[in-house]
Amino acid sequence: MFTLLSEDGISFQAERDVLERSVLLKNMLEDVQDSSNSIPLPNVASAVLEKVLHFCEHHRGDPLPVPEEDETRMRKIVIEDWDYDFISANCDIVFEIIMAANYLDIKDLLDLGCKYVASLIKGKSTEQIRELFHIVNDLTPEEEEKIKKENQWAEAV
Amino acid sequence: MDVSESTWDLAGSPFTSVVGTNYAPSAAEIASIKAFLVEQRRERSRLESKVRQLQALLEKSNKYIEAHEALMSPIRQLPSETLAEIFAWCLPTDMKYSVRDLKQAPLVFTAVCRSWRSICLGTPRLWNSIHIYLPPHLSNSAFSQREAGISLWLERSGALPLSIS
Repeated sequence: MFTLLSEDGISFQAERDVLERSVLLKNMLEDVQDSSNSIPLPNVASAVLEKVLHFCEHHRGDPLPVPEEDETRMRKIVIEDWDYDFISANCDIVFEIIMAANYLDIKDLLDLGCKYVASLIKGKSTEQIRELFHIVNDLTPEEEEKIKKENQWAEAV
Repeated sequence: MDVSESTWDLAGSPFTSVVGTNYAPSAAEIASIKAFLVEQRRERSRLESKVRQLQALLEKSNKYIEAHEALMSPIRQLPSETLAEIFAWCLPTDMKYSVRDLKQAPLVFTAVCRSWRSICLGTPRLWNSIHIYLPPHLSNSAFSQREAGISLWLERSGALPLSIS
């Protein structure tokens, strides 16, 4: 068992195969023989680390996703039932989960978070997107005019 | 003048014995009730005005807090490449290519805010597929406009291989 120490000082214990879902931790563990020292994760709060470990425990033993050779190929948003329930139940911290997955390099969790946020965005207008994510429209009237002109062809029937 | 809560206590009304009953007051009593209510109605107007002021203040305070909360919006913390990844997941799926629709990826991201626009325009893989539909009887100007739009779209794909339908 290895001990992880969250940003807010909470310890979590997990087995090697769970932690190795994270490329960052996998690389760290290669150098660690002695599991008595805890591994500090200064960028991950305990509330998020708990969820991340839950995800990794569920997927322990699954084949690790391989990086896509051609990231331009068309992808399908398919979310397994368990994953969908997991991310929906934690939708209030989905961005924190995404950031933790990015930091810890857990590709399947990062993809899951990104897919979930994409599903929130799809079909929304610019105005609705701004409202959803509290984004301020900081484009100047000149920039907006330029964009409008640029996109005019997309408005025409 | 500040009026205490007891002002509105029915037990303190000069008409307490009949208020809340089906008693029918005489003409003189009606006049006396009307006279009694003059000050009470004035006080109610004062209260209504206070409520309006408080409501306006509450709305202002909500906007103030929301403006500050917006600063902490977690999507702002995402690195650009992660946001670009989210944008890529928004592209049409099921073997469909991107279309010229302002409500769909990638065009929708060009007009949200400066940072999203910059990330979107700087991510070639959002622009290397397109479905082109050129209806018959398209006017020359409409054709030119569409041609320019398609060129700009494909320019943004950089050196990536293109998928066009």
